[in-house]
Amino acid sequence: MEGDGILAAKAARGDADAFTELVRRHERRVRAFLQRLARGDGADDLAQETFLKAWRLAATFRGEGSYQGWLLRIAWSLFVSRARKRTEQAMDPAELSEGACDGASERLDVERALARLPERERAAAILCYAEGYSHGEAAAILKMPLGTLKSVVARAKAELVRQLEGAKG
Amino acid sequence: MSDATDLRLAALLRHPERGPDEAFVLRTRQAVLIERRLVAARRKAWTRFAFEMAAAGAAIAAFWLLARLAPADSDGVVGLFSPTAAGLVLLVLWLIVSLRPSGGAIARSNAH
Repeated sequence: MEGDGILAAKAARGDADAFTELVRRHERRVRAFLQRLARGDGADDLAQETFLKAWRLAATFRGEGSYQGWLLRIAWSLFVSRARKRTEQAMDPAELSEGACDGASERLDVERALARLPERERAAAILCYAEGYSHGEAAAILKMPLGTLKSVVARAKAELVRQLEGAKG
Repeated sequence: MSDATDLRLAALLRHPERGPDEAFVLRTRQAVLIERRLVAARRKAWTRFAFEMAAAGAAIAAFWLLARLAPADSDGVVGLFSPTAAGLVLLVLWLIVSLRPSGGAIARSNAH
């Protein structure tokens, strides 16, 4: 099986089949990232836009980081520019998975707590906890200095823990 | 990121593994193929436009030069039925025909 770097190089030369394979490999995590970030609001459209932009910019991928990290960086940029364009709808995080809320499971609590975080903290928490990226990789994806990222993650963690404890109590 | 809280948060937030969503992959592939066709069509249109503008420029320059070369026995005015006037009419007709948007494009733009 060909590596992402080889497929990316082929995609840069206009090979749609190679790019389709990259989409197949990475759509799950890109969509999961955007679904949590955008709280489901147009997340799949943003994901498709992310891949289209990746196709247009294929020649600029230098292979310095992972292809998935590069995709997530594009996804984050698109999300931020979309958020700037429109006033974010004040969605009540309590509405998340309302129908399944019979036992108030810890997983559901943490999803709700995540939805309440500000965008930057939410993105940092998703990357570092859900996606398993290191602080350095997450900082590169979110285009922020490492020190800033660390403090953002620490704030997100404290808030998640506080809300989880509150949900228990 | 190694304390118990980090591990707990990571476990709670991790998405369950699943296979690729072929419907999404197919949709994205279609979008990419359309994008590729659009880029090729746009490039072709720009090339054609540049070529036609160059041709039109050359024709206009030729007309201008011809118009300046007035016959020795004339007063410098281009006659209505002169070869120069006929060339100008042909040039205008060619411009109208080649730069006019196609019927389909007009219908599409009206639909929008």
